Amino acid sequence: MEGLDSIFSVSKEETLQKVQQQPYAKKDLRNWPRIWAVGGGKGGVGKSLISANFSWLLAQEGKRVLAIDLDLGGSNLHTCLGVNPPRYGLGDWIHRRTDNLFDLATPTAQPGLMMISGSSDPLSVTSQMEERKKDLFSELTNLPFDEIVLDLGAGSTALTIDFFNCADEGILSILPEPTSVENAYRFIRMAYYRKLLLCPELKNFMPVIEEGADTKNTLGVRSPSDLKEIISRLDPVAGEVFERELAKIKPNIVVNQVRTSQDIEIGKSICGVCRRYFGINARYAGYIDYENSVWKAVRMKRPAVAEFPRSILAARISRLTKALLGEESAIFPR
Amino acid sequence: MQKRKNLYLVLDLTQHCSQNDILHAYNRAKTTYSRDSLASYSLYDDNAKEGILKEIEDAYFVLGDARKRQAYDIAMGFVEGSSEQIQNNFAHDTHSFTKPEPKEYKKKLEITPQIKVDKNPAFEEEIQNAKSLTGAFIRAIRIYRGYTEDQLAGLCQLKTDHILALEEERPLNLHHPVYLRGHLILICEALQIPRTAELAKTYIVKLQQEDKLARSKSL
Repeated sequence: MEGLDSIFSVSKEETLQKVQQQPYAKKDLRNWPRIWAVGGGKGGVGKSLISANFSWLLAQEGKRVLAIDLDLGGSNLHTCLGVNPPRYGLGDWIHRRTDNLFDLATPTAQPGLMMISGSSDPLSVTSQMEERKKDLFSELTNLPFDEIVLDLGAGSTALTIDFFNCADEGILSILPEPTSVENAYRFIRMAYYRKLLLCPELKNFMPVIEEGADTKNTLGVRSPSDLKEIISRLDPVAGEVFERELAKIKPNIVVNQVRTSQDIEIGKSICGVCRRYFGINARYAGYIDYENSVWKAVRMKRPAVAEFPRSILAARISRLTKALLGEESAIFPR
Repeated sequence: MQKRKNLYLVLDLTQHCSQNDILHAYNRAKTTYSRDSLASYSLYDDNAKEGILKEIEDAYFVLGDARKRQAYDIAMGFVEGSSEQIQNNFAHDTHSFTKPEPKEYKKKLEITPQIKVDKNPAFEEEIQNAKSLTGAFIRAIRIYRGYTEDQLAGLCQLKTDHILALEEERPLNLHHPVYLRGHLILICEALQIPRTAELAKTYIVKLQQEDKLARSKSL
């Protein structure tokens, strides 16, 4: 495909060669890519910042990484990764201009890291994406990468939520602000009900789940965890299925733009509330400080970890990456 | 039979946590469900939060006390133990939760002056307007107020030697010069001399100027 010639004097063929030559990470014995989805419910909470820097660090660790911009309405992951606006993006695959997603991958300055840009014409793409989301996931699993990072769009649309739920690991970026926390809960709530509604084994309980999802329901469901009890009482087997489905929702919480120690504590509080209200096990993966290096890096169109590798921000994101990979536990000051 | 609530889950803990973890989790849970909490305001109303806070307090009442916690763990089957052990633990608890007796503080001595002296308005005025404090002046005021050295020592809860040393401006006889300012303030208060701190300072400065006292910042 023309126009996919590289930037930073690295050709696509060269990067492809490097990607294919890189061995799988030693600890990772899986032979399919692990898919990460970075969501947040609200715009401007740092989804692209986390996606870009996280992908960059994964590639630095020797993994073969693909970052995909699924923010179809406002794609800018390429800017955060230091790539000029690519001529081809996900829209071309959705419009069936190409059947191979790998054709759309653009190399970055970091060896081992490639990216697929979002679409430049979101109006026509969003409706068609709904039809092709299943194909997208089956395509993704066939790509020659170890890790695939999906940068989701703002909001809690069904499409965004389905991408979040289908991913192997979900990362939820939250700012210590009321609007962000509120939207994050809305996002989790949507993910919760969407997971249950799409579960074929709970098909018979669809009316109960739909009624429970309504905040003004007559079932006496005050919180989603109440719904679990109602379904378990109605049918213990369905209750077990319900629990199994819920166990799959385990978002990794990242608190961004932390200024005070109270801001750090919010992550722990949110995890506690998630357990009590939703009955899900959210994990506090780490936090990122409010730092000048973020906007400086964005203005330079480079990831902060590449531009300011010695900054506190880079150290935090590095720690966060290790915590997300399960290599190190997250550390929080008491 | 109603299933007993796992109190550890109320505080978001596991039964293997330390007492310190329980305290931290309790504080965090209280903050999480406080009225102005960012983490819970959009999901719970004030009434619901009050209910949760009560649950948290109840959980901490048991888990926050090591003996009660042990008894609870045995009752829940988290650890092995006998029913006697539980009873013993609760027997101890009743002792540990009795209100402690209020601490008895030393009562201030009430000493009536030995010698009755007529009021001297001129000397009273001199005391009120005193700009500096000397040993001789302290002795004069003590005698005017009608106290002996022993009585003043009793009032200030000091040794009689200290009173004499201060009156004779022999600070080295004090057990440590660092206490000098404190002793002077006590004496001034007992003898109803105003501006105690200010006058105590003049006494110390005078001794320093006469090289009777080492210059020290602590004084």
